[in-house]
Amino acid sequence: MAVWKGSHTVTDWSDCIVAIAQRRDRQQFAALFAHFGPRLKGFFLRRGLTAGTAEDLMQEALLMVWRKADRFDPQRAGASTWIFAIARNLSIDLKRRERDPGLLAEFYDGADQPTPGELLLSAERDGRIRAALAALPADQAEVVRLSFFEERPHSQIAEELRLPLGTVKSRVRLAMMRLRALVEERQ
Amino acid sequence: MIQHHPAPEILAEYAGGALHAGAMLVVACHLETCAVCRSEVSLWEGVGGALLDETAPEILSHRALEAMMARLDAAEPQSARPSMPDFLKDFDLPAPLKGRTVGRRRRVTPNIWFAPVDVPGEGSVRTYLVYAGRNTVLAEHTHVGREFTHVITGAFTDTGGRYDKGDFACTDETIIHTPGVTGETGCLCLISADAPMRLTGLPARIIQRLTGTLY
Repeated sequence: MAVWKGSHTVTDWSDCIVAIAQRRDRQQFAALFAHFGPRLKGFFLRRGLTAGTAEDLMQEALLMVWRKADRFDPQRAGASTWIFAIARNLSIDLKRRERDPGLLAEFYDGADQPTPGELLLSAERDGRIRAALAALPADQAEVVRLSFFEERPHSQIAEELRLPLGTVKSRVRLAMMRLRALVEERQ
Repeated sequence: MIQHHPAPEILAEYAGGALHAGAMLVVACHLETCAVCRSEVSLWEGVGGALLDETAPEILSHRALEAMMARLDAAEPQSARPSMPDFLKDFDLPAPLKGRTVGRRRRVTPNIWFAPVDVPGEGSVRTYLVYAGRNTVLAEHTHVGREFTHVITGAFTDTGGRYDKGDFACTDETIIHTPGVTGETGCLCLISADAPMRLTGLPARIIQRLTGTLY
Protein backbone atom coordinates (compact mmCIF):
# COMPACT_ATOMS: atom_id res chain seq x y z
CA MET A 1 0.00 0.00 0.00
CA ALA A 2 1.31 3.42 -0.93
CA VAL A 3 1.89 5.67 2.01
CA TRP A 4 2.36 9.34 1.59
CA LYS A 5 5.79 10.24 2.85
CA GLY A 6 5.86 12.00 6.16
CA SER A 7 2.24 11.49 7.05
CA HIS A 8 1.73 7.94 8.19
CA THR A 9 -1.19 9.02 10.29
CA VAL A 10 -3.23 9.39 7.11
CA THR A 11 -3.24 5.63 6.65
CA ASP A 12 -3.07 4.73 10.33
CA TRP A 13 -6.47 6.23 11.07
CA SER A 14 -7.88 4.39 8.10
CA ASP A 15 -6.52 1.12 9.52
CA CYS A 16 -8.06 2.07 12.82
CA ILE A 17 -11.54 2.48 11.30
CA VAL A 18 -11.15 -0.80 9.45
CA ALA A 19 -10.25 -2.52 12.77
CA ILE A 20 -13.37 -0.99 14.32
CA ALA A 21 -15.48 -2.34 11.46
CA GLN A 22 -13.97 -5.82 11.50
CA ARG A 23 -13.43 -6.46 15.20
CA ARG A 24 -15.58 -3.86 16.94
CA ASP A 25 -12.29 -2.88 18.51
CA ARG A 26 -12.96 -0.58 21.49
CA GLN A 27 -9.33 0.23 22.12
CA GLN A 28 -8.90 1.43 18.57
CA PHE A 29 -12.08 3.45 18.95
CA ALA A 30 -10.81 5.07 22.13
CA ALA A 31 -7.61 6.04 20.29
CA LEU A 32 -9.66 7.50 17.45
CA PHE A 33 -11.75 9.39 19.99
CA ALA A 34 -8.64 10.83 21.63
CA HIS A 35 -7.45 12.21 18.30
CA PHE A 36 -10.66 13.29 16.58
CA GLY A 37 -12.90 14.13 19.56
CA PRO A 38 -11.07 17.36 20.52
CA ARG A 39 -10.68 18.35 16.86
CA LEU A 40 -14.33 17.72 16.04
CA LYS A 41 -15.33 19.81 19.02
CA GLY A 42 -13.10 22.54 17.60
CA PHE A 43 -14.75 22.19 14.21
CA PHE A 44 -18.25 22.61 15.64
CA LEU A 45 -17.18 25.50 17.86
CA ARG A 46 -15.72 27.26 14.85
CA ARG A 47 -19.04 26.88 13.11
CA GLY A 48 -20.55 29.01 15.83
CA LEU A 49 -22.08 26.34 18.08
CA THR A 50 -22.02 26.50 21.86
CA ALA A 51 -19.58 24.30 23.78
CA GLY A 52 -22.39 21.97 24.90
CA THR A 53 -23.81 21.48 21.41
CA ALA A 54 -20.33 21.13 19.93
CA GLU A 55 -19.58 18.32 22.35
CA ASP A 56 -22.92 16.61 21.69
CA LEU A 57 -22.34 16.71 17.96
CA MET A 58 -18.78 15.46 18.40
CA GLN A 59 -20.23 12.42 20.20
CA GLU A 60 -22.88 11.96 17.50
CA ALA A 61 -20.23 12.10 14.79
CA LEU A 62 -18.02 9.52 16.49
CA LEU A 63 -20.98 7.29 17.29
CA MET A 64 -21.71 7.39 13.58
CA VAL A 65 -18.12 6.35 12.90
CA TRP A 66 -18.59 3.38 15.25
CA ARG A 67 -21.87 2.36 13.62
CA LYS A 68 -21.02 3.01 10.00
CA ALA A 69 -17.40 1.85 10.12
CA ASP A 70 -18.19 -1.03 7.76
CA ARG A 71 -19.21 1.50 5.12
CA PHE A 72 -15.82 3.18 5.25
CA ASP A 73 -13.78 2.36 2.17
CA PRO A 74 -10.12 3.32 2.61
CA GLN A 75 -9.70 3.26 -1.16
CA ARG A 76 -12.25 6.00 -1.59
CA ALA A 77 -11.60 8.45 1.21
CA GLY A 78 -9.03 9.05 3.90
CA ALA A 79 -10.17 8.76 7.52
CA SER A 80 -10.13 12.52 8.19
CA THR A 81 -12.00 13.21 4.98
CA TRP A 82 -14.67 10.65 5.81
CA ILE A 83 -15.05 11.96 9.35
CA PHE A 84 -15.17 15.55 8.06
CA ALA A 85 -18.07 14.57 5.77
CA ILE A 86 -19.94 12.96 8.68
CA ALA A 87 -19.43 16.06 10.86
CA ARG A 88 -20.50 18.35 8.04
CA ASN A 89 -23.70 16.34 7.54
CA LEU A 90 -24.45 16.56 11.25
CA SER A 91 -23.99 20.31 11.24
CA ILE A 92 -26.49 20.59 8.37
CA ASP A 93 -28.84 18.29 10.18
CA LEU A 94 -28.71 20.49 13.23
CA LYS A 95 -29.74 23.46 11.15
CA ARG A 96 -32.69 21.47 9.98
CA ARG A 97 -34.67 21.32 13.22
CA GLU A 98 -35.04 19.37 16.43
CA ARG A 99 -33.80 16.25 14.83
CA ASP A 100 -35.45 13.05 13.85
CA PRO A 101 -33.37 10.42 15.60
CA GLY A 102 -31.55 8.32 13.08
CA LEU A 103 -32.44 10.53 10.20
CA LEU A 104 -29.36 11.66 8.41
CA ALA A 105 -29.24 13.59 5.24
CA GLU A 106 -28.95 11.12 2.38
CA PHE A 107 -25.78 12.41 0.93
CA TYR A 108 -24.17 10.78 -1.94
CA ASP A 109 -21.85 8.22 -0.42
CA GLY A 110 -21.21 5.59 -3.00
CA ALA A 111 -19.95 5.60 -6.53
CA ASP A 112 -20.64 3.55 -9.59
CA GLN A 113 -17.96 4.71 -11.98
CA PRO A 114 -14.84 5.91 -10.24
CA THR A 115 -12.94 8.59 -12.13
CA PRO A 116 -9.17 8.30 -12.52
CA GLY A 117 -8.93 10.72 -9.62
CA GLU A 118 -11.10 8.49 -7.48
CA LEU A 119 -8.95 5.50 -8.30
CA LEU A 120 -5.95 7.13 -6.76
CA LEU A 121 -5.25 5.68 -3.39
CA SER A 122 -7.01 7.95 -1.00
CA ALA A 123 -3.95 8.24 1.23
CA GLU A 124 -1.98 9.51 -1.71
CA ARG A 125 -4.69 11.91 -2.71
CA ASP A 126 -5.05 13.26 0.82
CA GLY A 127 -1.29 13.74 0.89
CA ARG A 128 -1.47 15.79 -2.29
CA ILE A 129 -4.28 17.89 -0.94
CA ARG A 130 -2.29 18.60 2.23
CA ALA A 131 0.74 19.56 0.17
CA ALA A 132 -1.43 21.80 -2.04
CA LEU A 133 -2.94 23.50 1.00
CA ALA A 134 0.51 24.07 2.47
CA ALA A 135 1.63 25.58 -0.84
CA LEU A 136 -1.18 28.16 -0.91
CA PRO A 137 -0.22 31.74 -0.08
CA ALA A 138 -1.14 32.41 3.56
CA ASP A 139 -3.86 34.96 2.73
CA GLN A 140 -5.61 32.49 0.43
CA ALA A 141 -5.29 29.60 2.88
CA GLU A 142 -6.89 31.79 5.53
CA VAL A 143 -9.99 32.62 3.45
CA VAL A 144 -10.37 28.95 2.52
CA ARG A 145 -10.36 28.01 6.18
CA LEU A 146 -12.77 30.76 7.16
CA SER A 147 -15.24 30.39 4.31
CA PHE A 148 -15.17 26.68 3.61
CA PHE A 149 -14.29 25.07 6.93
CA GLU A 150 -15.78 27.57 9.36
CA GLU A 151 -18.60 28.47 7.00
CA ARG A 152 -18.39 32.22 7.54
CA PRO A 153 -20.19 34.45 5.08
CA HIS A 154 -17.83 36.41 2.85
CA SER A 155 -19.18 39.68 4.25
CA GLN A 156 -18.20 38.62 7.78
CA ILE A 157 -14.72 37.58 6.67
CA ALA A 158 -14.29 40.96 4.96
CA GLU A 159 -15.20 42.70 8.20
CA GLU A 160 -12.91 40.58 10.36
CA LEU A 161 -9.92 40.86 8.07
CA ARG A 162 -10.69 44.51 7.26
CA LEU A 163 -10.70 43.82 3.56
CA PRO A 164 -13.04 44.92 0.80
CA LEU A 165 -15.65 42.26 0.02
CA GLY A 166 -14.37 41.99 -3.55
CA THR A 167 -10.90 41.08 -2.28
CA VAL A 168 -12.30 38.27 -0.12
CA LYS A 169 -14.29 36.89 -3.04
CA SER A 170 -11.34 37.00 -5.39
CA ARG A 171 -9.07 35.32 -2.83
CA VAL A 172 -11.56 32.49 -2.43
CA ARG A 173 -11.78 32.09 -6.20
CA LEU A 174 -8.01 32.18 -6.64
CA ALA A 175 -7.48 29.70 -3.83
CA MET A 176 -9.96 27.27 -5.39
CA MET A 177 -8.31 27.50 -8.79
CA ARG A 178 -4.88 27.06 -7.29
CA LEU A 179 -5.83 24.08 -5.16
CA ARG A 180 -7.41 22.33 -8.09
CA ALA A 181 -4.39 23.03 -10.27
CA LEU A 182 -1.93 21.89 -7.59
CA VAL A 183 -3.76 18.63 -6.94
CA GLU A 184 -4.25 17.86 -10.64
CA GLU A 185 -0.68 18.67 -11.54
CA ARG A 186 0.53 16.10 -9.05
CA GLN A 187 -1.65 13.33 -10.44
CA MET B 1 -23.72 13.30 -21.91
CA ILE B 2 -24.02 15.89 -19.19
CA GLN B 3 -23.60 19.44 -20.50
CA HIS B 4 -24.63 21.58 -17.55
CA HIS B 5 -22.88 21.34 -14.20
CA PRO B 6 -23.09 23.24 -10.90
CA ALA B 7 -20.63 26.16 -10.77
CA PRO B 8 -17.41 25.43 -8.83
CA GLU B 9 -18.61 27.70 -6.02
CA ILE B 10 -21.77 25.61 -5.63
CA LEU B 11 -19.72 22.41 -5.40
CA ALA B 12 -17.55 24.00 -2.71
CA GLU B 13 -20.68 25.09 -0.83
CA TYR B 14 -22.01 21.54 -1.10
CA ALA B 15 -18.78 20.02 0.18
CA GLY B 16 -18.66 22.45 3.09
CA GLY B 17 -22.32 21.98 3.96
CA ALA B 18 -23.23 25.60 3.28
CA LEU B 19 -26.30 24.92 1.14
CA HIS B 20 -29.76 24.40 2.58
CA ALA B 21 -30.88 20.79 2.76
CA GLY B 22 -33.09 20.91 -0.35
CA ALA B 23 -30.28 22.39 -2.43
CA MET B 24 -27.91 19.72 -1.06
CA LEU B 25 -30.38 17.08 -2.28
CA VAL B 26 -30.50 18.50 -5.81
CA VAL B 27 -26.70 18.65 -6.03
CA ALA B 28 -26.44 15.10 -4.59
CA CYS B 29 -28.69 13.87 -7.44
CA HIS B 30 -26.40 15.51 -9.97
CA LEU B 31 -23.33 13.97 -8.34
CA GLU B 32 -24.81 10.52 -8.68
CA THR B 33 -24.63 10.85 -12.45
CA CYS B 34 -21.56 13.07 -12.82
CA ALA B 35 -18.06 11.75 -12.14
CA VAL B 36 -16.46 15.10 -12.99
CA CYS B 37 -18.32 16.97 -10.26
CA ARG B 38 -17.87 14.06 -7.86
CA SER B 39 -14.15 14.38 -8.26
CA GLU B 40 -14.33 18.12 -7.55
CA VAL B 41 -16.43 17.51 -4.43
CA SER B 42 -14.04 14.85 -3.19
CA LEU B 43 -11.20 17.35 -3.60
CA TRP B 44 -13.07 19.76 -1.34
CA GLU B 45 -13.91 17.05 1.15
CA GLY B 46 -10.21 16.22 1.20
CA VAL B 47 -9.51 19.86 2.00
CA GLY B 48 -12.06 19.56 4.83
CA GLY B 49 -10.32 16.45 6.15
CA ALA B 50 -6.91 18.14 6.05
CA LEU B 51 -8.28 21.20 7.86
CA LEU B 52 -9.95 18.97 10.46
CA ASP B 53 -6.58 17.38 11.19
CA GLU B 54 -5.03 20.82 11.56
CA THR B 55 -7.76 22.16 13.84
CA ALA B 56 -6.48 23.03 17.30
CA PRO B 57 -7.82 20.37 19.70
CA GLU B 58 -10.35 21.64 22.25
CA ILE B 59 -10.49 20.33 25.78
CA LEU B 60 -13.38 17.92 26.24
CA SER B 61 -15.62 17.83 29.27
CA HIS B 62 -14.76 15.67 32.25
CA ARG B 63 -15.40 11.97 31.59
CA ALA B 64 -16.21 12.57 27.91
CA LEU B 65 -14.53 9.31 26.92
CA GLU B 66 -16.55 7.25 29.44
CA ALA B 67 -19.75 8.90 28.24
CA MET B 68 -18.81 8.06 24.68
CA MET B 69 -17.90 4.44 25.36
CA ALA B 70 -21.15 3.95 27.27
CA ARG B 71 -23.11 4.81 24.14
CA LEU B 72 -21.49 2.28 21.85
CA ASP B 73 -23.75 -0.62 22.75
CA ALA B 74 -27.02 1.25 22.49
CA ALA B 75 -29.28 -0.10 19.79
CA GLU B 76 -29.07 1.80 16.58
CA PRO B 77 -32.32 3.57 15.76
CA GLN B 78 -33.85 2.13 12.64
CA SER B 79 -35.39 4.53 10.25
CA ALA B 80 -37.64 2.89 7.70
CA ARG B 81 -37.24 4.13 4.18
CA PRO B 82 -40.43 5.74 3.04
CA SER B 83 -42.02 4.05 0.07
CA MET B 84 -42.41 6.05 -3.09
CA PRO B 85 -45.91 6.94 -4.21
CA ASP B 86 -47.35 5.00 -7.17
CA PHE B 87 -47.20 7.89 -9.57
CA LEU B 88 -43.40 7.70 -9.42
CA LYS B 89 -43.04 3.97 -9.93
CA ASP B 90 -42.34 4.22 -13.66
CA PHE B 91 -39.47 6.67 -13.21
CA ASP B 92 -35.85 5.81 -12.68
CA LEU B 93 -35.33 7.95 -9.58
CA PRO B 94 -31.95 9.15 -8.30
CA ALA B 95 -30.77 7.25 -5.22
CA PRO B 96 -30.50 10.32 -2.95
CA LEU B 97 -34.20 10.98 -3.54
CA LYS B 98 -35.23 7.48 -2.50
CA GLY B 99 -34.86 8.16 1.22
CA ARG B 100 -37.28 11.07 1.07
CA THR B 101 -40.99 11.31 1.57
CA VAL B 102 -42.78 12.60 -1.48
CA GLY B 103 -46.15 14.20 -0.89
CA ARG B 104 -49.40 14.15 -2.79
CA ARG B 105 -49.31 14.99 -6.45
CA ARG B 106 -51.09 18.13 -7.54
CA ARG B 107 -52.06 18.19 -11.14
CA VAL B 108 -52.21 21.74 -12.35
CA THR B 109 -53.15 20.90 -15.92
CA PRO B 110 -53.72 17.47 -17.48
CA ASN B 111 -50.08 17.69 -18.52
CA ILE B 112 -48.31 19.18 -15.55
CA TRP B 113 -48.03 18.15 -11.92
CA PHE B 114 -46.07 19.07 -8.85
CA ALA B 115 -45.28 16.93 -5.80
CA PRO B 116 -43.56 18.29 -2.68
CA VAL B 117 -40.44 16.52 -1.41
CA ASP B 118 -40.22 16.46 2.35
CA VAL B 119 -37.04 18.11 3.53
CA PRO B 120 -37.16 18.28 7.33
CA GLY B 121 -36.63 21.73 8.72
CA GLU B 122 -37.95 23.62 5.76
CA GLY B 123 -41.04 25.45 6.90
CA SER B 124 -42.68 25.74 3.52
CA VAL B 125 -42.59 23.85 0.32
CA ARG B 126 -39.55 24.80 -1.64
CA THR B 127 -38.28 21.42 -2.77
CA TYR B 128 -40.50 19.57 -5.17
CA LEU B 129 -40.76 17.36 -8.22
CA VAL B 130 -42.31 18.83 -11.29
CA TYR B 131 -43.44 16.86 -14.29
CA ALA B 132 -44.44 18.44 -17.56
CA GLY B 133 -45.66 16.48 -20.55
CA ARG B 134 -44.53 16.91 -24.13
CA ASN B 135 -44.86 20.35 -25.64
CA THR B 136 -45.59 22.20 -22.45
CA VAL B 137 -44.02 25.44 -21.37
CA LEU B 138 -44.01 27.42 -18.14
CA ALA B 139 -45.03 31.03 -18.57
CA GLU B 140 -42.45 33.73 -18.08
CA HIS B 141 -41.38 33.95 -14.46
CA THR B 142 -38.47 34.74 -12.23
CA HIS B 143 -37.20 33.64 -8.81
CA VAL B 144 -36.38 35.05 -5.45
CA GLY B 145 -32.88 33.86 -4.58
CA ARG B 146 -31.38 30.83 -6.27
CA GLU B 147 -33.23 27.86 -7.64
CA PHE B 148 -31.50 24.56 -8.44
CA THR B 149 -32.90 22.02 -10.91
CA HIS B 150 -31.83 18.46 -11.66
CA VAL B 151 -33.28 16.75 -14.74
CA ILE B 152 -34.39 13.24 -13.78
CA THR B 153 -35.82 12.30 -17.14
CA GLY B 154 -36.62 14.00 -20.43
CA ALA B 155 -35.34 17.41 -21.47
CA PHE B 156 -36.25 21.07 -21.39
CA THR B 157 -34.95 24.12 -23.18
CA ASP B 158 -34.32 27.41 -21.47
CA THR B 159 -32.33 30.61 -21.89
CA GLY B 160 -29.23 28.57 -20.97
CA GLY B 161 -29.78 26.02 -23.73
CA ARG B 162 -31.03 22.45 -23.67
CA TYR B 163 -31.04 20.51 -20.40
CA ASP B 164 -31.10 16.72 -20.58
CA LYS B 165 -31.20 13.91 -18.05
CA GLY B 166 -28.50 14.48 -15.42
CA ASP B 167 -28.05 18.18 -16.22
CA PHE B 168 -28.05 20.81 -13.51
CA ALA B 169 -29.55 24.29 -13.84
CA CYS B 170 -29.22 27.25 -11.51
CA THR B 171 -31.37 30.33 -11.89
CA ASP B 172 -31.74 33.43 -9.76
CA GLU B 173 -33.62 36.70 -9.70
CA THR B 174 -31.57 38.07 -12.58
CA ILE B 175 -33.04 35.47 -14.92
CA ILE B 176 -36.50 35.79 -16.39
CA HIS B 177 -37.32 32.66 -18.30
CA THR B 178 -39.89 30.47 -20.01
CA PRO B 179 -38.57 26.91 -19.80
CA GLY B 180 -40.26 24.49 -22.18
CA VAL B 181 -40.22 20.73 -22.54
CA THR B 182 -38.45 19.49 -25.67
CA GLY B 183 -38.03 16.01 -27.09
CA GLU B 184 -40.33 13.05 -27.40
CA THR B 185 -41.13 12.45 -23.76
CA GLY B 186 -42.27 14.43 -20.77
CA CYS B 187 -39.75 15.90 -18.39
CA LEU B 188 -39.41 15.19 -14.65
CA CYS B 189 -37.24 17.53 -12.60
CA LEU B 190 -36.28 17.92 -8.96
CA ILE B 191 -36.24 21.57 -7.96
CA SER B 192 -35.22 23.36 -4.80
CA ALA B 193 -35.55 27.11 -4.34
CA ASP B 194 -33.93 29.39 -1.75
CA ALA B 195 -37.20 31.16 -1.14
CA PRO B 196 -40.33 29.35 -0.06
CA MET B 197 -42.82 28.86 -2.83
CA ARG B 198 -46.57 28.62 -2.59
CA LEU B 199 -48.10 25.97 -4.75
CA THR B 200 -51.61 27.32 -4.38
CA GLY B 201 -52.47 29.78 -7.08
CA LEU B 202 -49.43 28.79 -9.02
CA PRO B 203 -51.22 27.06 -11.89
CA ALA B 204 -53.23 30.05 -12.90
CA ARG B 205 -50.26 32.34 -12.71
CA ILE B 206 -47.48 30.52 -14.39
CA ILE B 207 -48.63 27.48 -16.23
CA GLN B 208 -49.39 27.84 -19.86
CA ARG B 209 -49.73 25.42 -22.69
CA LEU B 210 -47.52 25.85 -25.69
CA THR B 211 -50.60 26.81 -27.64
CA GLY B 212 -50.84 29.90 -25.51
CA THR B 213 -53.96 28.82 -23.70
CA LEU B 214 -53.77 30.05 -20.17
CA TYR B 215 -55.01 27.70 -17.48
